[in-house]
Amino acid sequence: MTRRQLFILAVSYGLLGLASWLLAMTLTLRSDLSFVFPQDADQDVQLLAERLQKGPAAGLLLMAVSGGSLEDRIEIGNALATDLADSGRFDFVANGRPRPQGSNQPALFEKLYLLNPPVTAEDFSPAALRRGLEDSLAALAGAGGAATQDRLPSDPTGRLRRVMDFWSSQAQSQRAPGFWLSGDGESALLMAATAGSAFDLDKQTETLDFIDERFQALRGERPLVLAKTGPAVFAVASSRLIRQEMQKLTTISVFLVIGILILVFRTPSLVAVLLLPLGFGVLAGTAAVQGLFGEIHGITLAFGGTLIGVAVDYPIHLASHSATARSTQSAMQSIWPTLRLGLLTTLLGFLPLTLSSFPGLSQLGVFEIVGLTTAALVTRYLLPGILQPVGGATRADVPDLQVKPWAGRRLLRPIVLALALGALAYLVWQGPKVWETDLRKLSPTPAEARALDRQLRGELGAVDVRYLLVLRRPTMEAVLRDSEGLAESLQPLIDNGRLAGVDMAAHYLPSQAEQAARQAALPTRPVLERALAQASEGLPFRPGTFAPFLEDVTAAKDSPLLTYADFEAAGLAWRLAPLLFRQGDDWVGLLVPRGLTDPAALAAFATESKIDGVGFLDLKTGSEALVADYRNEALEWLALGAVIAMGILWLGLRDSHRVGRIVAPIGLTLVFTVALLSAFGVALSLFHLLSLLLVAGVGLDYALFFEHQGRHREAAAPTLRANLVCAGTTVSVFTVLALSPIPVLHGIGLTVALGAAIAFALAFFFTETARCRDS
Amino acid sequence: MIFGTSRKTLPRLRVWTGLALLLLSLQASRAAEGPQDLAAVLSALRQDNTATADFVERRSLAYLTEPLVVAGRLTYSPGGRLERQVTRPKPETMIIDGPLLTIEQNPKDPPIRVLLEDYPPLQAFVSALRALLAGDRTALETTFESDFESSGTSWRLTLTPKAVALADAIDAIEVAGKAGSLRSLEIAERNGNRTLVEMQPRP
Repeated sequence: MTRRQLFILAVSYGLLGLASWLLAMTLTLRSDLSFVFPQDADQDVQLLAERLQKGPAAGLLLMAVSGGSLEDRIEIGNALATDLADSGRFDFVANGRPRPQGSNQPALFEKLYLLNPPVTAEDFSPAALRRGLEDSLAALAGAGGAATQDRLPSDPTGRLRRVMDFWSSQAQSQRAPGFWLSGDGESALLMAATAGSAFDLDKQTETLDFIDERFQALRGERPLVLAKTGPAVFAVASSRLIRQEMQKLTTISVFLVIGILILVFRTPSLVAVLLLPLGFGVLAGTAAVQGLFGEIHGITLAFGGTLIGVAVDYPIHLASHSATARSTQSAMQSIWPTLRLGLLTTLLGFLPLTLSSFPGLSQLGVFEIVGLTTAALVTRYLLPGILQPVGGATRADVPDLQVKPWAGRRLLRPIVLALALGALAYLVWQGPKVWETDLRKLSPTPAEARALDRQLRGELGAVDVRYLLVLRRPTMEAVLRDSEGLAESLQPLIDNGRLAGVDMAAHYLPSQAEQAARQAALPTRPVLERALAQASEGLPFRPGTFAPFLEDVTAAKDSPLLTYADFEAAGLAWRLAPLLFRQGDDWVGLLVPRGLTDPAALAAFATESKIDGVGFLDLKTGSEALVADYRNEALEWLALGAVIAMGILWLGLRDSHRVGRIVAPIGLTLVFTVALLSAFGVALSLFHLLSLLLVAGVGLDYALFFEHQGRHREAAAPTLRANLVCAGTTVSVFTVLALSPIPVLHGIGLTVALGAAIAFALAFFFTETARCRDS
Repeated sequence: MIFGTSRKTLPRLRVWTGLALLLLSLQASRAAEGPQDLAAVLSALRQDNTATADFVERRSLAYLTEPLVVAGRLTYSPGGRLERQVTRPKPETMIIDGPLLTIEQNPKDPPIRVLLEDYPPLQAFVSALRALLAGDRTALETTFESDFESSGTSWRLTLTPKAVALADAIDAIEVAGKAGSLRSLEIAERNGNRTLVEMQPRP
């Protein structure tokens, strides 16, 4: 390398580093699920997105402290619960212990008679009061007596107990009262709900780290372990696992690629320049997406970076052809038309994707177009100046892969075509089975983590919410009032055993109308006094015992009604928030079914009920449909892209035979790859689809270079060598990826490794057999 | 969920005082003469076998004109496990084992498990009781000021809680005996309620 070349190289890397640093400073990276949600989604899809990310269960963390002695587990479990509750990072923390004294919930319970279960005038009749007093007296003698004895004068009928029982019976999480120990007593259990979305990875990572740090500090030297589960744990663990895997795999890949390049070209300077087009490409693509969209999805960056991998092939072609050319410059000039056509075709293939309604796809389109263009321009204008011609490459330097004119060669084409038809028929026979619809199958969460999740959910009675009834109204009061009506009309389903009940905000916060009715039903002081005197006749209560009760009921009759603000003040808003919230101009109320045995009946109820603005939402099929929509839209745009790409190929080559020789291997590659994956039992997800896009991209370049450059006798050897190196590096890098235990990485690796190998073989086969026939 | 356990359960201290009385009486009957100081009482109290007694408990509340009466059987097992079976007016079982308190009120429902430490008076009382039955004077005096007095064949042990959490709930526990047996055990709660337990050892 000359000093000038070294200088340019140094400046290039300096610029790349500086620009990357600047971009990293300003980058808005999103890591939530919005990647898969369309921008112009209707209300239900938006709701679905929101529920999946912030639903009643999304922020839930379940924890188990095990190991050590029972005393240790309980002590540390309690201390951890206290620490977490005091940290203010959680909406609530629970482990089955009574709330400490001085919490502000009693403020809410001063309005006991406005809360559920309903209160009627009959509840204050002498007969009803008598029953209440007798029950309370009996309870005083029981094990719970000491806990309730001080409340008896103000609550002689046990109203507080009934309100609390009602609340816990309505909640989705059903667990017997008492301290939370696992059934075998080996673990102390805790539950906490974080305020944010489970997919806000940075915040969740911080929260989980905080928990670990607190636990470590509390545990000291004791042999205790903390197990955590929940959506946030899965999300954070997955992203950590993927990052670790990526680092490991990238290191292996880099050594593999460098090894292959040095082995083939014996020119270290090639390795030095190889990453420049890719680096500038990723940089420009990221900057363009950030500039246009104001943010970039983490997944766009990951996939964009993978798809743009085709840019690594550009300098390889340049290097390979420089061997037989007079200079690197002239080698560039000889391959530029081919490279340019390949680039234009790829760009046009990506163009329709930019119009996608899914932000992830349109970002990906922009990323690829800008990134690949930049990579090609860097190869075209920067590399010839710094890349030295590599060692000689004559036919003797590369394996002789030419198809010899052998007797059976005329059968090859029909055989390949027959195989392709067979593969196609197989795929048609498989039908929709080739697609993966379950988002969770793509999760890198290990089986043990899932088992732990199931176990803790079982112990804590936390359910997976799948079905929802959705009620939309212009005001909060309308939502509350109408959900009370809706719950009533669900009674036939409950009576039939189709449903055990529903959880809804109105159970905790009755509508103002309902509260007012209860208030009106409360007796006046003189009436209550008389009834109480009659009821307590013959019972061993001292006169005047129930003065506080008289005070409370009288006060409740004139008190302001309960509002959402009262729940906020009492620290109980988290109870309402998942079930009652604003969406746009509307208020939305969710009714979450408990013990639902017949979802179809509930769906029918929602459609048949004459109530406006009631919807039935199935989060699972909803998200499956969304994944399918996403995939179908991607397919449509890609099909359009393929048509446009073929158009530009034809414009560039003006020869339908030559276009056929380029398009046929790509098409067949896709068919063979998909059929093979399917035969291996791999269900195709969006990740496979995007991987196939990379396969098509590299396949196009193989075919173009074979077809285009191979026509010139002196370029045949460098072309074969370049394509061999390109295919070799791609296949080896993605084979490494395919060995990863993470489903997504494994899927991408397998698809691309398989596809690139097939694409290379077919492109070579098609041009060589064509040459055999021509010669 | 919202309020932690919905069925808060505070087992009454009187049971355990009753149990202490029982065990004191069991031990006391072994000695021919009444012990004349705390050390003697404690050494007599050391319990190595399972012991059972019938009890009757009278609980006087400020707002009730007559006491609530509960009767049943108490069992102590070495290692600190305590079981209280109420037979009238309504059967229920309460077990204290280690840091856990288990209540079985209805055979159909799963037992309710709560932490002893969530009921500070009971927790402190149980730890004192366990100290007594282990004959562990150091453990006893960590929790209580003890005042032992005897006159003739009668003796009285007054335990005053040191810990704030316990002192907030009870004024004192009085264990009384005559000659080699215990007659009564009475807990005076801060709020004016009193619980008197009388014991009858079973052979």
